Amino acid sequence: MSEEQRPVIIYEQVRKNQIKTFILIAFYIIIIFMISFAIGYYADDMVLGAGIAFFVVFILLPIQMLTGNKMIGAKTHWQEANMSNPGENKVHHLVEGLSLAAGLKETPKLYIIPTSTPNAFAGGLSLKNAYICVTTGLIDILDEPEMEGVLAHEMSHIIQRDVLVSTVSIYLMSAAIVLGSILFRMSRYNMMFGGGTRSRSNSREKGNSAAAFAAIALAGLILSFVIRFVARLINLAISRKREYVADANAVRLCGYSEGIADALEKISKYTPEYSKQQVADLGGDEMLCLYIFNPTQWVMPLFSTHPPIEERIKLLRNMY
Amino acid sequence: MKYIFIVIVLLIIWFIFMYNGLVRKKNYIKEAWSSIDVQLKRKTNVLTNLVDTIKMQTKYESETLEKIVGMRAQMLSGKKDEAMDANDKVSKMIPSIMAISESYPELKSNQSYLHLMEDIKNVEDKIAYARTRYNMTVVDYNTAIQSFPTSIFAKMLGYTDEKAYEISDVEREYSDNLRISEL
Repeated sequence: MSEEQRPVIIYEQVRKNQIKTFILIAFYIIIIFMISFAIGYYADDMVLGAGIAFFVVFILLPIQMLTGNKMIGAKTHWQEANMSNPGENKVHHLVEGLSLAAGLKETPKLYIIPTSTPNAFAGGLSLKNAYICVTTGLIDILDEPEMEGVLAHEMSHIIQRDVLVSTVSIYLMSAAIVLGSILFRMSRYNMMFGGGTRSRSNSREKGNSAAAFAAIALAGLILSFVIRFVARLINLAISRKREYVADANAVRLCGYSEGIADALEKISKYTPEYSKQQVADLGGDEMLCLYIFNPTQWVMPLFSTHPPIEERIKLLRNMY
Repeated sequence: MKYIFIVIVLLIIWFIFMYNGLVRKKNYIKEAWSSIDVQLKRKTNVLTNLVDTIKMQTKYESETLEKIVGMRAQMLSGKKDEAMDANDKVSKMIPSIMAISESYPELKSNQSYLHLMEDIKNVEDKIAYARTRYNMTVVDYNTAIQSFPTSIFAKMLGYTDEKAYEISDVEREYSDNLRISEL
């Protein structure tokens, strides 16, 4: 927990995060290319290897990234903030102010979800198309310093590029693991059959390698479920840490820790548990991990996206 | 010989990073200041309109109104000390402008007056935010040039301490009141 206590300048942090994000993504892409080429090598077809890599990085990844936003919009029925509504207008002014304080060149867009459950989340894959989304319930129950705290928390997620990092890295990480396991199977198969596929020009062995490939594909499919699970666990660990960092940066942005602490307390007391309808209004189960407050309680803390709310409030109150 | 060479190369690399860091941090300050400047311009515009509206509506003349108009040039001067000083003085006068509406009820029902009061509150908030950021960049820069060993070179390269414009407790209290009060 040393990172959140270190005084970081928001602006400097934006830059460092850009570099870190870039390195992380480049690292995943390189690994995917390496594994794909290795698969190509074992399958005796380098074009196949290159094809897999290109397909994963240049077709599946952009599709994943481009459709994410629309899906969230469709699930939550959000609307752009209406400036003639005094409550929404106030939130909009706070967002403008906080993006000044954070030094963002463009103010994130503001969306409103029409539900009485108080909650908020931030999204957008780049600083340019970043957005903050709050529910009407949140506007109703929070006063200005509290709302400022919540918005500052979301602004920190934008600055930390959490959405981009989690979307891209989860996807690439899972892809790397799936491909890696295929490769592992292939190399083992090769060892068992004395590297048959590497020696060419024998038609029987060609048929052999096709059967092997089918078996490998099936194994890969089964494995990918296991891998998704592992990837999810890693994601949870990352996102828990990022929640703490976002809380700390929120305090730095508004120079005031009581706002966000009070807000978290209010939100968690207002709806300690969500009904099915409430979860649906917020966009469904898999959306919940994006929100500032996620009431889903898992038996093991390992499985929760957010640190316990009491822990966050306690840390915030001790901050200044 | 080889080791001396390696050490020198490492020193040069360190120096480049240090120097670029200083340049970058100084530019952050510049940028942060320009966002304060933008808000100050907005504030003078709003204030000018506000003074005009009050004068038109109430035929009320006062020293305060004249003073506020007189501060315009200073707030837009671009000189940090002068502009911030003028800004603080103007902010302190705003409550007395608000008090005018107590004795002129027609102002309270005037739409453009109410709008302008809303704008004032908004622009004051924005200045506070921009100032927070400015102060953050200044603290970051000052820490960098005061830490050893950068401190040795910073002076030589002409990098000197910058001044932060802390928001005083009185002002914070005042702006909190401005927030809470129903305009």
